[in-house]
Amino acid sequence: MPPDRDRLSDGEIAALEAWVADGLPWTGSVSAADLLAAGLPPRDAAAPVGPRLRPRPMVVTEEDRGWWAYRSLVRPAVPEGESRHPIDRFVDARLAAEGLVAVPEADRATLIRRLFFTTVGVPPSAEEVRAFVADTDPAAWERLIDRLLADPRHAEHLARHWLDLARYADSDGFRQDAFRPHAWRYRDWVVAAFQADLPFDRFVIAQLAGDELSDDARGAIATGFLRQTPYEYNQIDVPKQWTDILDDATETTADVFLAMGLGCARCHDHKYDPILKADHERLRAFFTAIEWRDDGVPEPQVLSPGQQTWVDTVGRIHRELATLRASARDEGAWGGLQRFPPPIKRLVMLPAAERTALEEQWVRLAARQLTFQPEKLPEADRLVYERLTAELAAFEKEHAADRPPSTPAAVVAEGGVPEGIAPGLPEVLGGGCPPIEPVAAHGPSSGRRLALARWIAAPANPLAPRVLANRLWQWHFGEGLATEANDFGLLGAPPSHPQLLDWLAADLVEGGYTVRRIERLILTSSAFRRATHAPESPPFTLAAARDPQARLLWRRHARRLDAEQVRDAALVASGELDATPAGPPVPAAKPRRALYVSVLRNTRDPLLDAFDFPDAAASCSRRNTTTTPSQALLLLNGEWLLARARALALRIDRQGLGDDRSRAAEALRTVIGREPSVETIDACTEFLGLQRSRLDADASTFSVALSEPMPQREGLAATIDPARPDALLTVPGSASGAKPEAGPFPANDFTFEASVVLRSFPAEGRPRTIASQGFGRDDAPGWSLDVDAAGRLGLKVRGARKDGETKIPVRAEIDAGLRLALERPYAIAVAVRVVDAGDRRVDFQIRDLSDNDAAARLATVAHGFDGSHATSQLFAIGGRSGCEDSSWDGLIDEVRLSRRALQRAELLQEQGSAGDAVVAAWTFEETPGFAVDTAGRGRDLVRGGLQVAPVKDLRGYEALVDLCHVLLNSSDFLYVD
Amino acid sequence: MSSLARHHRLLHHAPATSRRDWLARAGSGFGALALAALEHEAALAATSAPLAPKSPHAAARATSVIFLFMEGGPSHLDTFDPKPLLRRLAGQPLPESFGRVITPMGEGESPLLADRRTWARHGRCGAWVSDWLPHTTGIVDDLAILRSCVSDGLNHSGGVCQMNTGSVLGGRPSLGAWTTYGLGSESRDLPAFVVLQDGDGQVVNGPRNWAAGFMPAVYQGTRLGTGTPPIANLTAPRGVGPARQAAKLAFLTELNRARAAATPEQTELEARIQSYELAYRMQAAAPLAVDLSAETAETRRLYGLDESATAVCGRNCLLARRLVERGVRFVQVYHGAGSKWDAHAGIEKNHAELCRQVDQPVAALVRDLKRRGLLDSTLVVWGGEFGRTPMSEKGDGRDHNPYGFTMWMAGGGVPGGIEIGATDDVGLHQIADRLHVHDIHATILRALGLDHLRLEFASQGRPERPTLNEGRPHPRLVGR
Repeated sequence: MPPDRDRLSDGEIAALEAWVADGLPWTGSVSAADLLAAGLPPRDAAAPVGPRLRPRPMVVTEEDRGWWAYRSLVRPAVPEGESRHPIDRFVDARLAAEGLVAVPEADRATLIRRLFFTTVGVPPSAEEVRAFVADTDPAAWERLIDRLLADPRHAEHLARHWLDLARYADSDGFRQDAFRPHAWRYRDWVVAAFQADLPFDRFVIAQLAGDELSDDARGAIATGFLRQTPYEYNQIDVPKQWTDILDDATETTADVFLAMGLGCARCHDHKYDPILKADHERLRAFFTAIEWRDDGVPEPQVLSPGQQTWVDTVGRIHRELATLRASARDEGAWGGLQRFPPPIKRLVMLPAAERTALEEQWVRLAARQLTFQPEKLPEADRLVYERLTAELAAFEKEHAADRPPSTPAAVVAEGGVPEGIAPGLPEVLGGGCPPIEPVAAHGPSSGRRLALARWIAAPANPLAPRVLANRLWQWHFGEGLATEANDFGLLGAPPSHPQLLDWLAADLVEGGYTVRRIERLILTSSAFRRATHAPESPPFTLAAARDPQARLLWRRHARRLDAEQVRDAALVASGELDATPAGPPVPAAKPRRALYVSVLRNTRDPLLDAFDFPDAAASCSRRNTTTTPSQALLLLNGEWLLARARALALRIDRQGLGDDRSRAAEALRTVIGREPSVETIDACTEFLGLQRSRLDADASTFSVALSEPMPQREGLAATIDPARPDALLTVPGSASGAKPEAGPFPANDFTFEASVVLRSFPAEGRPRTIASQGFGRDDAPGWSLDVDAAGRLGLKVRGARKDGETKIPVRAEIDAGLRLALERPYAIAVAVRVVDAGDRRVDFQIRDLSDNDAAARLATVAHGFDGSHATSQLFAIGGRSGCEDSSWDGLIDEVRLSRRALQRAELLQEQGSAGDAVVAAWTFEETPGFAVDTAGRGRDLVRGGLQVAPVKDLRGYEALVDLCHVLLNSSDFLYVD
Repeated sequence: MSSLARHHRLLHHAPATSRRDWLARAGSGFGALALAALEHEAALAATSAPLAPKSPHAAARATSVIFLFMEGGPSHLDTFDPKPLLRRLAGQPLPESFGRVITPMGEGESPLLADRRTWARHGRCGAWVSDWLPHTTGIVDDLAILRSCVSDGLNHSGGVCQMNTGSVLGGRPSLGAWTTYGLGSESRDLPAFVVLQDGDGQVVNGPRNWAAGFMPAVYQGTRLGTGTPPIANLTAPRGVGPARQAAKLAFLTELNRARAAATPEQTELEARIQSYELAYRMQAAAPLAVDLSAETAETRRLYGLDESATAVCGRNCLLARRLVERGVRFVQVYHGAGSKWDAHAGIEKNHAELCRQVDQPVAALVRDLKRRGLLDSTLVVWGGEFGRTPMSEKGDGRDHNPYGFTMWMAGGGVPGGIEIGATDDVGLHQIADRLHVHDIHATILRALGLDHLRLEFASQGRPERPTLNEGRPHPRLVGR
């Protein structure tokens, strides 16, 4: 209850009195477990929390086996009803039984946005919304469903759900949190499996035992599922870490495929559920033979004779090397072994044949921390070892073409089977053990995991299809029919519609375990299309009182977007999303889908973190949904979303819509996805107008996003902010090779002039670039005028000199010997001479504009650059094209580029003084326009690849940025109905 | 047009009626339904205001905790736990009778290393403190010195993780998160759980030490930095002035109000509006909280703010007091962030420096809290993720020792001037009154009035508890 009031209201007292008068009936709609789930810590120990403790010693009874999740699966009859859709018959029948009425369907604009988010994870475009809303064909909805289910983005979206379950990450966790270079192969396997609609039984078997299948060698990549365990690179308590690894594999498997919370039974019989400690041990025994492998999964193919020779030779040498390593009797031969406790040292030194299978596993785990030191071998062995190593290197080099292709991946395989407890199934699931047969698909393997996987995936298993059907329901409704999708035991809530769940599960199995068919069924139901808001009329008031959580599906819940959806939807709205699928993970700064952003366990992306991205420590079936002030700060003040708002505003601005009203409406359509109401457009238009006038009053800051006043000068300067991806200003068609009418950009002598203010020095080794042409990556030709971490001004030039037919690379780094201070306006000129062999020099000139008395500082530096720096890259102001971390930070103004090296007296003079030599000039004023070439050569700048010329009305643009930013912060954007 | 008028204009549906209206509607003859609505209100209150203050399970001694975390593992053998025998056996291997242990660098067989400290008893209680901690000697009568601490973490990662979350494996909520979950926040405009650290080093495992694990992110710690702004994204983006920012927020609130009114069933939408309001208040409150200009010269001297060696830790200790004054529930202060206390070699130089950095500020914190009457309600905890071995490493260093080490508590109702437990004669294992990390956590929670076995959070449907169902509060520290 709210704490701000002691006394109950009269209405509440009346309600309680009425309840007492009714004989205290208990609806059970909000159980203690629900309160717990809602985040309420139970206060009163006397009040029962969830189910009762089980008596000891644990006996698993027939009653336990009859628990809803475990009893055998019989497809229930579909209830009678008006609907033609089986799901609706079940839902409607339940509502009718409770005397409740469902709300009407949501409108079409809501439906398409809902469907997009639950299927492909991103919002529809305004155009798609318009088209669907206008489509009167009764089959339009189902057509849309079919289109989206087949969309590759659907597989990406489902994969993200699955990766939550699989505790997927691209790093180890623990202190080092080392990057896992090949984890993404498993991620891509999951995406491909969903895209191919791989039947779920095969999906299960591949992930648990892909290496034990002989039909597809690459199928082993799927066993990456068992490799998502956190790993501590320097843990010397090897048995403990191995135990943790096996427990993690066991418990994750139970969570994900059986919705059984096995973790409690690691140490003792479960307190509530009929799960024995022995059940944990027996299930764990299916996994005890695994070992971690990183040596590549072979591509399926028949080996050529050359490849066969490769395999034989390399294999032989490796075996011989291994024999020698095993023969080492000096502990010093193993670098890193010194730290290990004596028992492990002893095992490492023991001949392999004398180790038990378990000891062998420990040694292999320890060996990940060891490096072999051949110099510690006896002299004769050392020579052999060195000869073999050299032979191997030589062979691999000479026969590189014969190396059979393989995919590097983190997978599992098996060595020997450790002694100990025999595999078996949990008692409550019938106990016993499915038949296990050793297999030799890619090396000998016990077949244990394959047996377990086949048992899980067998049509007769009632639990796995219930678990999957419930997940599919959850992924489209936000909540499962059973809300704890990873725990179907007593601690999870029982399903709201057990018959429906069983029907779906049975249908899933009978339909060949295809996921997409069940999804289609769910999405085509009326239940999926309900509105989130209940009209104010008696039947719904009753439903709201009786079933406030709408567990009976009489209305739908609005849901906050998931972390990835916030990110992806913002990138879609701004038009920046790079939809490239698959491949190694990328930094969060790249505009790829969140699915492809590196998941580093200890270094989480702030945006994803704030929106409850799971921590990848254990399987996560249901994310938290929090509402925090740090989210608000991140969205309202953080650079990332603001940059999206700027990009969106540019995109809208570029459409040349004319008045504020049209711009406001377009922003709304793009962000919210629906046709906005007249009232909302009114309000947004009014905001644009008011914000424009506020910017006037707030003039010191209003135009910083693109330009701001230049200190000590009249007028505006271009603002270059390294945090903004759209900062770089370039000239289209400025490649040196291009010969436009206005004349080419310089490829040898030239002069560059500008006024600048520097706001921060770059990191050590990085430049702050005032202007450049080319000079982007590696050895790319071009020039770049930079300031370094110490504030030193310098020019770098790279290019080539022709010597007959051959091109000889030439380069020069020319340090002016002049430094810039921060936050001070300077006029800078650089005149470069490379043509005249007798006068290869650069004249630098700097004048401090804040000090009228200061004389210009001059420097003339001779250099040896005697080639052409012609480049196909564009001339750029404020950074280098295609080179991140080169951005200027501060202001740039009064830029002039000339086609010859001006004389001293010509430098930093009024525009026009250089006459015909001027290539282009920019003053960044509102008149004639920020990006307009004031030299009249028509070389208008673009920013972030977009025309900035239309942004002549800077206040209007900034106001539009504000509107877009507000909309991207709004609940209309962050929630989906 | 006024904001309110626009608000109504924007509504997609009729203006919202309060959640309480359901009760009135349902109350007419449907008693059971009304009760359901009442229960629903309670659940909603919990979900929409998870940080509302909650009453503890039992009378609380402490309302706030300041955990001074010496990251990397300070040596108990050179600070609080003198071992004369260690000096006698110096240079010899550990006698068999002490038992063999695993240490990360495999120093089980290495010769024992004598301490080189001068020791004396201090205070009325006569507690031993070494000459590395001269200011601490003056507060020993306020300290409960815990000499028998034990952790399961052999490495920094596991050790730091367990001291923060109870488990050596990642994924569980930090103790500060549990506290915030159990008690809510007393501060209207600051986070309930704040993290401070020295230097630029990354605390081992990074921010997941103060993460919420499987709990909602609302309970996680907020890092308060030393720069401007002190909290990430606290200030408006560059180039967006106050008038512009305020106008944006006002318009956003208006839009969000209209959206919330359209589906009053969704209390989250109201919570979203409140979260922006809290963020706005934080923009004003957090800079004030970290502004030390109002502190007197005497206070600055007390914390050592004017001396370079103590300035950083002094600032963090003083900040911790200021945060507690402002209702912050749990302040985690890392000293030596990036395992600076990890003296595998050259312990003399390493520890002399680090002890000098913390000694005066930490003693000042206890004294300052006391004279302001805050020590009774503030539990101060000092310690690292483990101690260090009596065996030497690299000749003049010590390896990790999670088998027996020293921490201390002060204030928050914990009696001062007492010692609990002991280690063996070389300081390797605890031998009496074992205090496992779970016991320490249970004790801290108990001081806050929380029962570590009744504080439950349902994760994946399973009841999770802060100490993994283990540990017990120490009766001498927090009573029975």
